[in-house]
Amino acid sequence: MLELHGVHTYYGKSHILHGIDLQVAEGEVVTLLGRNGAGKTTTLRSIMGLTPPRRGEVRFCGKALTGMRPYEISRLGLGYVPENRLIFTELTVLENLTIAWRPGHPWTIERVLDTFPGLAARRTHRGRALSGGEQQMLAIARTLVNGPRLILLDEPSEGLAPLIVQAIKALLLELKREGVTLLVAEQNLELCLAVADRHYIIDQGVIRYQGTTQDLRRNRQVQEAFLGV
Amino acid sequence: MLELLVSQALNGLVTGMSLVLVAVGLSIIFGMLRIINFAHGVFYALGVYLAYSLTQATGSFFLGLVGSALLTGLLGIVVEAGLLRPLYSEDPHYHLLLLFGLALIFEEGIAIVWGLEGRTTHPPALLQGTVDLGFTKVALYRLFLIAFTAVLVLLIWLFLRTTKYGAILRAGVEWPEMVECLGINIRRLFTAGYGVGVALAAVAGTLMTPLVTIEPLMGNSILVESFVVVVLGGLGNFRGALFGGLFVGLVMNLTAIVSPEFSNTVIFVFMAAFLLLKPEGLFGGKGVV
Repeated sequence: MLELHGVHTYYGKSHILHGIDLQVAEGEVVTLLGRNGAGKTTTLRSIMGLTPPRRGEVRFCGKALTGMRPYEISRLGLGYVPENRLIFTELTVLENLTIAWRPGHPWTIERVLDTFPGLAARRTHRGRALSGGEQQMLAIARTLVNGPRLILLDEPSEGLAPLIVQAIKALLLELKREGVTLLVAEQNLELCLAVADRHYIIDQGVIRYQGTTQDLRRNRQVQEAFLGV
Repeated sequence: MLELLVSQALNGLVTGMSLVLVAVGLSIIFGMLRIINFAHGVFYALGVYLAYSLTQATGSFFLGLVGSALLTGLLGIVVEAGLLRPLYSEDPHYHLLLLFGLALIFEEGIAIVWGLEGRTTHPPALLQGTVDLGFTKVALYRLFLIAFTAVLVLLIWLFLRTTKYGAILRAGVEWPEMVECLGINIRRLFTAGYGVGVALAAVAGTLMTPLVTIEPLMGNSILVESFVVVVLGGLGNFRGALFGGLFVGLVMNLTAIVSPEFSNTVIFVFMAAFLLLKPEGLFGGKGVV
């Protein structure tokens, strides 16, 4: 469904991604693990067209995304939940969802509010009044009502208390049961092992490892070398 | 004395409401595009001249008002999409240079097309005459101007506050990239925002024409005054533009009772004080609406 072939991405003159290859099949949950600054966010931004690759190719559902603007990529069915959530703080919870909603898919605003009872209770509150965990839920909910076929999630557990991380884990597992395709960038190995089928480890802009959950769980050497576990 | 006070306060509201429209436009443009529109004053002047010619051609002040707003807005769209957009990824100084250059070119263009001599116009026949308030008489046109701009400002506020497009606009001011990642073509929205912003300047200018002398440089003083407004209120904020515009209008006109010479200077005293004590303005950093 999503394929990256030899993606090289730069910020100005600094060369961040050095030929990333990566695939996600429909219905799969895949993680992109790595330390801070390894290139996880840049990989997701490259896919979304926010920081377009200078070389290489991103394909989604067989279509090359080269030269497309982020809004066009979004309309093809790629959803993006960014690092730091980027909740619209001046808008209410309901407004955050309303501007994101698009017709023609099962995730209506009502259904999302059923899935996230915490948000339903605060639907008239402004985004800035929400806690970090609620903002993360809203960021995911906002992308769901947008009707994506694949969701890119950037560090959903970052900066959240352990209890909230458990709630995020439960949510990701529920989305997986619903058949939502996910590519999750994370540092939290436990979370990744609990929710995903396959894993990539990125370090200094290069994919250093790929394997199944079973394989990564056993592979202490890889865990130590690239994740500092 | 009371008569003078009331009459100057009304004049203050007239000047103030016109400044509110100019500052709201300036704020919309700054909020969305993060540029200070140095060409705002010249769009104001251009709007005035377009309305002047359209009114002469059609015989209707209101056709002139609407036509000039549309034409000025359209020109704004062309300027944003054609000239500003390629510069967003460059150093911000390029926008400033471009907008300064455009302002000079348009100013000269106005002088070439319409000439340098000052012109005056009258309010439309429907709005001539005075209203007796009991203790003083007020020109009907001034009351109309205050009411018309108040309704227009209210409509803009309702649009921003209650409609989906208003919400998208507020969201785009905060996280433009995120809005784009939801499948919304934010560039088109920004272009429209620039067009609406300069169209509001044209409306503000046109409404003032029966009260002032029209001349090619008339946009300059408005630009400076509206900068004072946004410094006081906080740039990129609707409430700030509303408060700042009324405040500047009232202060200028009430000061004129005591000292007409000082009335244009006093607002800069306030501006200096704000820059020293509250540089973000009264409503700075408190969102768009």
